[in-house]
Amino acid sequence: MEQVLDIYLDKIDRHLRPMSASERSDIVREIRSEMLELSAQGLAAQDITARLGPPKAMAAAYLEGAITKNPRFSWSRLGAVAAFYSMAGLGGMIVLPTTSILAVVFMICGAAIPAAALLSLLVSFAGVEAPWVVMQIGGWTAPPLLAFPIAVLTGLLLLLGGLACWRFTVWFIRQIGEKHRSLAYGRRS
Amino acid sequence: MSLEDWRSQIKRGTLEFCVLLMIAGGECYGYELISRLERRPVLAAKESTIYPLLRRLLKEGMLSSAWRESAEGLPPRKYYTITDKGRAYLAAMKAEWGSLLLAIEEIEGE
Repeated sequence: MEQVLDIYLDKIDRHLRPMSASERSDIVREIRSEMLELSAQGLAAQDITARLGPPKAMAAAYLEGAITKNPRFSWSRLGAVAAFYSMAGLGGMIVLPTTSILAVVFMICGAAIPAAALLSLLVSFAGVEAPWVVMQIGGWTAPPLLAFPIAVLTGLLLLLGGLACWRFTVWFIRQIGEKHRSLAYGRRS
Repeated sequence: MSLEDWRSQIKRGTLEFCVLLMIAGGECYGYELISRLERRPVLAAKESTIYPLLRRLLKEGMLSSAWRESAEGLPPRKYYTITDKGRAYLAAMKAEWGSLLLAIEEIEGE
């Protein structure tokens, strides 16, 4: 196969990195099959890549389907989001990193704060002074017994905030996808 | 709204239906579907639309697929067949489509 086509497939493979290796190779194999089909019909390599469109857009169409199919959070989906926003244009470059990072940070803090408060509570039960884990709100230091419910509440709010950011991220990608799609569907008619 | 926008919206809603219809009529490979759609300008769609759509239908269990060798000089192809679930989904779509056409006819005749 001509080098232009191999380069094209290589680019697709690279853009699809957040997907599993088996899925990726199946996608590449299928596009490769069409390339061979087209060149058997006498199409030149340049015409084939022109027909398939930019490899980035092709990969984005696959990634978009993988991200927006369900709105639940997972690390592999976060990877897909990261790959997607790198090709989502200027608006996406600002909005998507912010909301997706906030989502993760909120969720981590939401888990870490109650964990710290629990630790402080246990340490105080054991009768040990633990100046390295205290809750301070302004100048006021909460006693461990009171700090725990406050921390749980704060953690819960942060988790909800993180989830909301994540939902927004998925929604935003879907909007971009819609725009992509209406362009794509309109073009060949 | 321009006619162009309207057309692309219709296409979006019906492409899945058409793809399932074609595969229900007998197993197909991706490029075959694309070139059959291409013969009808209203339905023509790009590779970057059809392949992800096929992948979604596979994941949803509407289709199954298998790679097969082809004749000399042609590449191996990934053939899609419709599953029972896909058939049931298609039957429901057909019913919806029928009632849509009927409703439009009724409105036209009013």
